[in-house]
Amino acid sequence: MHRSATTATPGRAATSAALALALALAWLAWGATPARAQMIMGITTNSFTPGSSTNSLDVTLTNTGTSPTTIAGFSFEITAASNNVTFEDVTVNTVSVANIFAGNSLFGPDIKLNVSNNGQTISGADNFATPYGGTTLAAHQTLGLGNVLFTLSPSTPLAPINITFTPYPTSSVSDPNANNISVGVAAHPQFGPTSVPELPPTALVVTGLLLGVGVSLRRLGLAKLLTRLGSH
Amino acid sequence: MRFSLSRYVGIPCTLNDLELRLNLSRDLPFATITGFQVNFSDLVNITGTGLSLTSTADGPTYAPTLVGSGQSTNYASWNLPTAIGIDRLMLALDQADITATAASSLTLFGTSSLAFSVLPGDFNGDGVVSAADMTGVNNEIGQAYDVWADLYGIGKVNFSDVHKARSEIGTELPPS
Repeated sequence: MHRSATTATPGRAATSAALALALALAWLAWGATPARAQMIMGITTNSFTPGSSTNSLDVTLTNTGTSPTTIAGFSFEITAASNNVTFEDVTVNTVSVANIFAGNSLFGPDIKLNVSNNGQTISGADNFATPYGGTTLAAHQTLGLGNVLFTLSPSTPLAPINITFTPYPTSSVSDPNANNISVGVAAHPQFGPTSVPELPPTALVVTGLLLGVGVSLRRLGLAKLLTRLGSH
Repeated sequence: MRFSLSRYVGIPCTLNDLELRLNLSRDLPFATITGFQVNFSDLVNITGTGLSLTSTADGPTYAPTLVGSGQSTNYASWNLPTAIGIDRLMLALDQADITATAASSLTLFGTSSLAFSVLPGDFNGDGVVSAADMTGVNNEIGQAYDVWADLYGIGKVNFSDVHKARSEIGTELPPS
């Protein structure tokens, strides 16, 4: 029995209560949080070239749960946090993963709904063509909802751009019986240049040592060569 | 005198019927509500406008116009210049404007107003339009007629209705 926990001083008890309340409020504010939802919408960058109009990203849906779930319809809306981006279109031609309704899209190939906010916001929606049909997303499987085409201004920095998903009901998923399926968003969704993996510090040290050794050996070899040449 | 109201979109089913048969505690998903028909139990004379339609959610101002003379009739129709969009509304008959033809001292009795709301595309009546509404309307194609999926009020459900539900995704009823 941890009686000591219940006999804390009033000040500490008040602090604990305040902390508990804050945590509870944070939990409530979290609401439809990404982590709790089984279905997660995310972003995958396919191409990102400043000055080009042929860039694209995929909006994806991942089943993070442990049971398969069948999807019959979806909608999403994304907003880029940069006016260097101009969204142009949404199609079913996802690149990074297969399209969720491949061969059974009701509205494809073009599934764009609206472009607004000077091209920084775009939405798309599609449905499984056959009534009461759908595509089953296995546990941990990811499929593509839409391929979003966009233009980047020439001055776009080579850095990730944050994305915001408009919440329910604008971004939503339904099952074959037209029930809503709770959907969340990947943490900090963004798109941008494919990042070059950074070397860990130890690797940098090893690389530096190898370079140093290499230079030393080369100098040694050069000295020996000069010595031989001199002896002749 | 009783009155019933019907959507004036060509579907032979009255709003009161919907209310009674389907428990109209939900919004109307129809995109083409451009008028109302009121059926009376007796012949009536209508003077003035006779009917008012008011937004209860800071929506637009509506000006329904009476069709015909409104004299010695069992039913009357009012038209709107455009279809009702997303709104919460109060429809009311002006009792001072409507009297029995047989005796002008006889006026309407009972409820003469009806609160309702309109959210085009809201097939499932949950107050928001989401992917579920699009899927729901698509599921009704080829099935027994479901008035809630007939968003254009043409007497059948087809791809146009699915398209309409899709185009309205993200919309919600305003707060009451």
